[in-house]
Amino acid sequence: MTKKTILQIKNLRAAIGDTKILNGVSLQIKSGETHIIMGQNGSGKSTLLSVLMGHPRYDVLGGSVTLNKKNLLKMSVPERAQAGIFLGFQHPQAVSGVTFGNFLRLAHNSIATAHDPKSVPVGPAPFANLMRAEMEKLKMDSTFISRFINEGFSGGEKKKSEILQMALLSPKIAFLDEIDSGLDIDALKIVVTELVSIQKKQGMGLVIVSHNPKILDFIEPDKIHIMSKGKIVTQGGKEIVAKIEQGGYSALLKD
Amino acid sequence: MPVPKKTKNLLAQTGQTSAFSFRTKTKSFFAADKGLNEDIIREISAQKSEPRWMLEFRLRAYEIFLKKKMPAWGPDLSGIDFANLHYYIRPQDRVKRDWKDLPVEIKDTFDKLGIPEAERKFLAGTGAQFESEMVYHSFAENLAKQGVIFESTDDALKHHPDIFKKYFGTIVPPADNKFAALNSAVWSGGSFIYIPKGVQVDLPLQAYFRINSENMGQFERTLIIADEGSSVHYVEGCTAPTYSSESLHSAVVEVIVKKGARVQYTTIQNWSNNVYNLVTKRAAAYENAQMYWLDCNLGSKVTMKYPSILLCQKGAKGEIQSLAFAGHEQHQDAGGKVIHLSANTSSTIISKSISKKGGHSTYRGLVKVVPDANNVTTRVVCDALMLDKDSRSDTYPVMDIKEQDVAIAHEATVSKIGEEELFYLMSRGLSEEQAATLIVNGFANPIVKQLPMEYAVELNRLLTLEMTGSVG
Amino acid sequence: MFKNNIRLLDTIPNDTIILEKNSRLILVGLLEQGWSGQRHLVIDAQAKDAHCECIFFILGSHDSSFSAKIEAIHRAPFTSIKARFRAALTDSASCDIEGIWKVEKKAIGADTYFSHHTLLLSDKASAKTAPYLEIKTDEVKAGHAASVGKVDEDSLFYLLSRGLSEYEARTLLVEGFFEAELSAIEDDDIKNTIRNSVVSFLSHAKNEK
Repeated sequence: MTKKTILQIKNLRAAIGDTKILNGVSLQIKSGETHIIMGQNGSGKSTLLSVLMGHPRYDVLGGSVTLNKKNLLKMSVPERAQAGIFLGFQHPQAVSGVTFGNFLRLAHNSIATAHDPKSVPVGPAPFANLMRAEMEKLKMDSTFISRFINEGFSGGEKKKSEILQMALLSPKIAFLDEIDSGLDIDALKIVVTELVSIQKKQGMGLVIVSHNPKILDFIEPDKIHIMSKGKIVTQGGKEIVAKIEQGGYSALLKD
Repeated sequence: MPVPKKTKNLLAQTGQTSAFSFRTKTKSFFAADKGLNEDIIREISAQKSEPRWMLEFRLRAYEIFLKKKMPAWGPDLSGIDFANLHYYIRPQDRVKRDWKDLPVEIKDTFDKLGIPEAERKFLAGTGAQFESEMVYHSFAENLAKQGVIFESTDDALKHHPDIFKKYFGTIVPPADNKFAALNSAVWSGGSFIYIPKGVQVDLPLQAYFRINSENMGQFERTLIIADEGSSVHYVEGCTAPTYSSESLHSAVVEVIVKKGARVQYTTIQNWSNNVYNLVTKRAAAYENAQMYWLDCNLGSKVTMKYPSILLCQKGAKGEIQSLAFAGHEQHQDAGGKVIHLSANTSSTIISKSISKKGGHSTYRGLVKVVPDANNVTTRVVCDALMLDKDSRSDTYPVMDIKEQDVAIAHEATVSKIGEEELFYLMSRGLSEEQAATLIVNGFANPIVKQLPMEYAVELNRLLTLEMTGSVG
Repeated sequence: MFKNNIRLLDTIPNDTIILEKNSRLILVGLLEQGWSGQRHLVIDAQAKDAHCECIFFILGSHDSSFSAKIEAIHRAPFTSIKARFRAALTDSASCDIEGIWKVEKKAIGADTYFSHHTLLLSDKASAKTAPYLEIKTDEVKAGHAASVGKVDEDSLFYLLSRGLSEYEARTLLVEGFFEAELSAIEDDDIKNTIRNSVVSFLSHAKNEK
């Protein structure tokens, strides 16, 4: 089965105010593939994700991004989510006063309607059941359904809440920013197992951003990209990570 | 002839040397010295050989002063007897004070703070020029080479008339309030600073350096102009108690911060308990400019001071940090005002006040955002610490927002020293007084640490001193 | 929170409420119609152990004006007067709330709080807030908080990134803005009345655009 290209990024350049952060990023992701983007703090990894999601703080200066051949950069933020992009944030936003369960149900229905205007919105009770089933797999307490979004959640609970959302919104491609930070070994194992299972089921593309080489103990990537100064400077397989573990990022960047 | 007791007390207050030199002055001479009228203003201007426009400015301001009403809000100012004050003391009349006439409390404080002998004399107004003149000279040569102007306001009027006239009175016009009008009529002394384009003055400019007893004045007028891309830090005042025989101090400070420039203005005031300290300070910040007021009020009987910043153009930033300590029979009425006149501006106001032994501290603030000044962020934090049952703390903040694209946040707390904190420190072996002192210094620390180091050290020592005997 | 002594107001009255010894009063205000001039409400805790809690919800549209001076006076030991205002303003509505909180010398153990948070949902809406404190004793817990602004950009982006439309996301955030205060009210009927009002307020705001 030939894998289809879902996401094509060509020479993407972006800035915040007067500061240029992305200086020509090119990347291609096929369905079902797992990619890892690594790089030191300040290399532009998180910015790349924010720009793909359409964060208003950044200005796109050039380049192109297509999702299933559609121009992503022209879409509004919700349109990108409806088209199939999901971003698991490094520091998920707390939104006081808005219940987690209610918000997720609305998002789910919004995306479903975008795909098929005739789809029937899921009601609160059935949706809560869907949530509970998924929360069971993530070992997440179901009381979180009625709590305010991310408010008072521990670091690990916030990361699980991002994965839960990803599971229920069925994106075509998911970007996870530093998913391993804040999770202890057991929690990380649970999250990764669930991630891989969802990916297989939905043919989802997966991009994990991390600065920690240890992530490879848990994920088997198809490709690894190293970012530095707003560009992807090296691509390859696991051998790249071995180099980083031995000599740090500078060992790679010298080549 | 024996001096009546009432007169003796009066002498101690005004710092005259002896009853006899006082009494030999002619009666009419004495009467002309107090109170304010047009003649005295003309004399001030003539003594300084001022250009005609300044005399006219003073006279117009005097008219405004007569018409303006006293503020209808704020501390009790009924103790100010305008007719009975000196508004100008001719240089030849400046009588040297005698050390022995200085109030005992002040001498004690000098002892406890370890102020050097020479400094004491200077602070008490009994000494001549301070030795720091020497230090100042080499620094001054360096500044002059860069085109920096740092002079007394009187001299600047003579030496740099064009630039003076261009900016003087533009930020605080005489009609602003009654005391600005008074200052505009009788101002004398103060600093004039001009920093040319792109010049960064690394060491703080201190009022101390060019001061002489005349300028330790009641009606100082300071004007600072930082031209594009320049930066300067001006420091005035000192932590040690400063004795003043004149009971009304009404200064005006105007600051202009041009495009990309930065000005920090630090004041530490510790006037003696007879002084009414009513000051108008305002800055105008232009494109991408930064203005920072750091204001510490420790002394005086009544202080009314609200450093203000007008954020006139985009990218301008303003910050006001205010520390007030109100002790027995003191009222510190301070705060800050920021007016956002342009989009993309931001401001911060942080106020910390401490009141003890019946002291009264008040925070008065204003944040105003005009329509279309979008993308504005402001944060105001005012915390008050009350150290006993007799003290009083007021907070009067106002937020007047007429633009939706803003993020304005304000919070305030009033409390006494926490029991849990006290207990924890005491459980490690500290006495209650030591523990309370640590906590008070910690409370003031966020502001104190912004001061130039010598001041921070002295301020900490002063707070420690104030805390002695304040517990139990 | 106490369910018994709860009163639902639809405006701020010109009135003086005297709190008696050992009393608990809860005032909830759902203010949708503005008024002209400034209303003056005085809450006077004259006796020991008197408590009052007020929560006011302001939903301002058209050119409604909500101007009030709330004076809370603590005169006796162990009293508490707390007030929280939440306002959402659209069109050219405006609110101007002065809160004057006084703690007299003998009001030791006073527990006071005043907050006023406003969401400005349109260009011409405006807010003025002046939370004043006059404290004459150190044995007190006193504080206040105020904020004015538009819907939080980061929260909005987060919800949009999950596929919610701009309208849905803003609705959730404005509802959430009020929900944060509603949880303190125990009476379900009152809570639902307020929730329904918020929903119709928001659909009016949408239709006006």
